[in-house]
Amino acid sequence: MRLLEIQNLTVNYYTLTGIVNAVDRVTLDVGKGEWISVVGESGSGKSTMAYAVIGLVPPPGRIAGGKIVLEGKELTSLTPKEMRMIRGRDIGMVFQDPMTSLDPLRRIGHQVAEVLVEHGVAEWDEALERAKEMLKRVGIPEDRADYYPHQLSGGQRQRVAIAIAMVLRPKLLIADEPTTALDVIVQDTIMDLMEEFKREGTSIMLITHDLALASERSDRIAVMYAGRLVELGPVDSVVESPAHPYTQMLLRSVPDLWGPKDIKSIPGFPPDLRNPPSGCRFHPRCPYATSKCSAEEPSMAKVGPQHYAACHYAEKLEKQG
Amino acid sequence: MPLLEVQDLKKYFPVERSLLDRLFSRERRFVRAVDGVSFTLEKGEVLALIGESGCGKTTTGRVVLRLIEPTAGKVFFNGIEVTALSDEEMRRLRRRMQMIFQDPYASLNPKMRIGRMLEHPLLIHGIATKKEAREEALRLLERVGLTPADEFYYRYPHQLSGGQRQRVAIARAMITKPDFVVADEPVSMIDVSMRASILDLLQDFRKEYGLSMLFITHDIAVGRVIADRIAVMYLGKIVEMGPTEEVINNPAHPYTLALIEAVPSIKRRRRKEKRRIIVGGEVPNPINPPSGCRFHPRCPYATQICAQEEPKLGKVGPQHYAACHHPLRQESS
Repeated sequence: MRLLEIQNLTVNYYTLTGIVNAVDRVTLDVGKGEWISVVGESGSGKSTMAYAVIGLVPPPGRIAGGKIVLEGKELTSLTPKEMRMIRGRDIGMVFQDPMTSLDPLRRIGHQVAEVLVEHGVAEWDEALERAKEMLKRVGIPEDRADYYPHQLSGGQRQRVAIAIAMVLRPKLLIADEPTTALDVIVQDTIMDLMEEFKREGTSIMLITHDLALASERSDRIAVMYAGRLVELGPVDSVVESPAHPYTQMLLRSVPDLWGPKDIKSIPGFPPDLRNPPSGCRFHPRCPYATSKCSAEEPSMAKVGPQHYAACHYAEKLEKQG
Repeated sequence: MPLLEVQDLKKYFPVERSLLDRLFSRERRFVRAVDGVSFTLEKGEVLALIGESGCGKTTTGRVVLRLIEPTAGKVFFNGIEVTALSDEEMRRLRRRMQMIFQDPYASLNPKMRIGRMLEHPLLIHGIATKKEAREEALRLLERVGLTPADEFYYRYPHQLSGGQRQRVAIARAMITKPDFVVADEPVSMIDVSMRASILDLLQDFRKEYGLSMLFITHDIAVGRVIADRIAVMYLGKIVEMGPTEEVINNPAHPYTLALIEAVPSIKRRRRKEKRRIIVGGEVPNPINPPSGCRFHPRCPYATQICAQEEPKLGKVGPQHYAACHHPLRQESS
């Protein structure tokens, strides 16, 4: 059994100007101890999908269809109270800006300890001791347990956020752009820390716009475009033989320190999801699009071992490229 | 003679003193944002100024254009001492030295139509008549790919996407046909799939106008795409400077190596298993920078001299300089 199974998940934002179909029938799973990275640009639905998994889609958004199954347990039908127990205990979450999850007015040690107390795992005295251990584990010296968030650097705050997310040793850590606001050297050490937890058996779902970052530590990569999952597969397979034209073009558009210098933009703009394009949502920007692409929606088809792409011509393109 | 010459530029910002500091008349303290930066830029050349947040790269760009006044040091543009000009003389020079900002949401006046925004610099500098300015604005809109130009001419910034706004910002900077432009993180707020087209646009103007550019970025991979040379800054100082590929392939300063190693790469995604350098900690406080070499507390190669003596930029290769007592490469003669 897979640890997490997302089945046909649809999430809409019911705005005053129309229904934004942010996530459209996405099916994705995460294995035990696996690191999967969900890659996409702004508006691809990658973050909304992550929020749906932890039951925190912000209003006016709502899960409009599909299932989220964690170790056989369906999460979308749980009450808010039950979901609160899942968060922290079974799924930990880290956000881009650690200040969204940290309380600026309380000492960091207390904030880590509170998770243990809230979940009934320990009393305050013991919880504070364990919080110190956890902070040390993520690289914050014990004597800083009494610090307030503002006394720490951005990188250290993100470490505290990870300590809060991981103190109950959840099976899955979801990290939504955890290092986007940080400098590269700090980013690297945060990724090292996440990798250590992975080695100890935690599954990781990294949400990022950075394909290169995703390529370095993941087992598999999922590429999203305009609310749809367009490609899914093992890292090497996806970056070396991308099957979907969007993935191919995205790979050519990002400057890589050790890659070619002549990078190419993807022409056009992502669509307005109140009124997504018919057929394949990428067809207005796709150089290979035919009349079939605007008429018929492609489904995920196998293009290699564990490797799937949602393109009518994926197999052909892959052989060419 | 280089187009731009920057000599020992310094910018210190005073730190707000607390009531206690004042009561005990404690000494005023300064953030040494830029602390003795020197470089030159040839006509048509692009120099990328690279570093992490707080290294002083943005302040350097602003002081060079005198958007903020330097604490010390000189800037020469075409032999003219920019730092000695009066406000009026500076205003007249502005058309030849322009700026492109990071955030296209903040840098465009929300109440001004795009067309007027582009004409504005031509009119205030008295370069063109109203009719000529309009023609030039339309030509520039076409040039930066905002077509149909006569439609974009009447739009307001809020009607444009981030990428389109940055095109407007570039058009506005280019309309006076400057010789030199400071581009401060011009693609960092643009979606990845559209960054290449913005960089292409800057390259085109460079070829067309013989434009020189100071390209400020935290992303060395982006800098590599556009720059002839790279200067790496750390805590207010340039620690390494040289031809782009030289610096990337043969970094001499341990900090440069650490920065390069930390940049995620698809091509070298498996390299993490054999990392060449690991640095500890984070960038220290620029109010009290470390003694000697400012990188020494984090440097795995630091020795006693590094804590005592500040290293000067020394030659380590052709056109390649590093400020390190123990550079990772030496000049081979």
